[in-house]
Amino acid sequence: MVLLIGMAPSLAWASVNLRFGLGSAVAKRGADAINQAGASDAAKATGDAVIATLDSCPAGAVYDSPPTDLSLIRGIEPLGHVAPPPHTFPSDHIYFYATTSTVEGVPVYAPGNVHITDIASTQYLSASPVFTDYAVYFYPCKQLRTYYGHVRTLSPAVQRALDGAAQNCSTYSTGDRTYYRCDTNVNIPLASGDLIGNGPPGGAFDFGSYDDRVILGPFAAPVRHADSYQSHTVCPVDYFTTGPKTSMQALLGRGDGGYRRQVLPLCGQYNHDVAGTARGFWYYPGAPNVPEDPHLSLIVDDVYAPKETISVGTSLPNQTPIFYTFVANDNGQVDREFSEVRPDGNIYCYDTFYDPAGQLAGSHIFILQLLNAQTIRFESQPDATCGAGPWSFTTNAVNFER
Amino acid sequence: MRIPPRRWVLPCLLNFLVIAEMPPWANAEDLSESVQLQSLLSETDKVAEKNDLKHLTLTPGPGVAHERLALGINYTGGQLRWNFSPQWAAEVRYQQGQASSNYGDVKAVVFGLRGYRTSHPASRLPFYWGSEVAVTNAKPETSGYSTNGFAAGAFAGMRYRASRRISLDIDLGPYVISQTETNTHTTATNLDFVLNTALIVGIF
Repeated sequence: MVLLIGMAPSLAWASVNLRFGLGSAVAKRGADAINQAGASDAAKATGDAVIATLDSCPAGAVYDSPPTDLSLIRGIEPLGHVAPPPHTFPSDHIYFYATTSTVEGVPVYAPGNVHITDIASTQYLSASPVFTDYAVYFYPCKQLRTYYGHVRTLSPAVQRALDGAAQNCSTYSTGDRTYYRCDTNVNIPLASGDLIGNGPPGGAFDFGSYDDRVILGPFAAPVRHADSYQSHTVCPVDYFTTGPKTSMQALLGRGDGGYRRQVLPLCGQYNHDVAGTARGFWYYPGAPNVPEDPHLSLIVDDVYAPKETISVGTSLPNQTPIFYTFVANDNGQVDREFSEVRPDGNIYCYDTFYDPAGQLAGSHIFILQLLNAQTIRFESQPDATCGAGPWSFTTNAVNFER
Repeated sequence: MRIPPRRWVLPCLLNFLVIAEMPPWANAEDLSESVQLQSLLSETDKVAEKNDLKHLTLTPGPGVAHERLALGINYTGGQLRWNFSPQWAAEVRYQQGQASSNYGDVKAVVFGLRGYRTSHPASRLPFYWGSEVAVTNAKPETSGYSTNGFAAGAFAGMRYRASRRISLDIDLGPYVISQTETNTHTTATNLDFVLNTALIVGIF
């Protein structure tokens, strides 16, 4: 029921509605006020408020300029890269590795007409000398959030827009290193191909996207990923027009360009969970989801797929954080494919590991047992090979959970 | 037959609810309850209270509530009521609500203070009216926007007294709701008619 009534002209009486409950009435009027604030604020909106001013994303490509000069890139590492302990879990972004070490680093461009909404500066307090780099978050349209990470310098235009804006800062630690991060909400419209900044000299910069229209899944423990951007992780390469997309796909593989990924999806994957099996994300009991340091992941390798990877964080008493790749078997209890390891009472053993360069590595074995769908027991042991078994756990074994 | 004007429909309906729909078993309590009520009201000097008496005897209820403190649950919230007398009460209440916005679902919380004046308190279906002031907050799930403000309104309604301790309230009234978004200082003031319901239980 809507009753239109005439009220004092100085007040914004638009309509009078019948509401069931004062809480509902306030929520509805609060939503109206917030929408009104967003609309009136559109021209000077910053941060998330910018999103409401953008159009919905079309189906298909939204980016038409390469993120960088691709002739300066050796390789693009796909989604799912691990580097424990800070990246014990598969990464939700891809990495662009520069061909040569230069003072300035490769240029980083706006891949389409975008609005930068947030720039996060990170000061590496444990580094010597201390240095700062930037993560730049932007939207080409309402549902697609994209970012560059490890941008070492900002372009003069972006830097000018950033200067003087209010910051939200905090200090955090992961992987025994301490960081000081400041987020700044901005609204910097850029045209496709505009310079955003430069990557690190001789290193890699991150490139990641989250599409609200895409929901990954199923995760073995959905509550761990609820309300996170990561549950919307997509490959940013898939959002480019054919030319730059093809050029980038040809570079997907090892960062040094020494090996190209052979298995679809070429851009890798973020979610590796297979519920009821050993494959996917495993969490150290009682530890928060992030930082990832104490956890464990058992995944398909991002470069050498279908080879699989064990990524161990800081929780094993006799094992430093490390990740190894191995050739998975479809039978037996040695190097058995993670998605085929079930809570069957068996202990499985893993040996014959390879390092990121594809060379044999490691002088120990890992044994694991899926106790139930939610719990895995895991241990590193000093033997060179698994042998014929059977294997047994010691007091160094650690349980992880979904 | 001439159709009565629309403005008479509501009063006629209320009259029907109060008088014609009086349950038969209520008459069993008629005499004792009216005596009790007369005794109670005779302690006051208010003419209006005494004038109410003849009406009260027509719609007897389960007895005048003696409980000072009453707890209640309302639509998406709860309340705590203090009865100063059978006619006068004050109440603190909490309510929440949800609505969609351009920035995801907005969740609102409301803390309110109500004053009540009840007519025919011994009736099974007493009328009541009063006013309310409340402070409000609303926040969407995906942005830094939030609103603070107030709501103020008047209401009138009817109480169904299922027993001496338990009653069901339903009321309707105009509320001014004014909220200011904290980042942009955008203020929106509106008038809504709000329907409230509550289940009330007398404690002691």
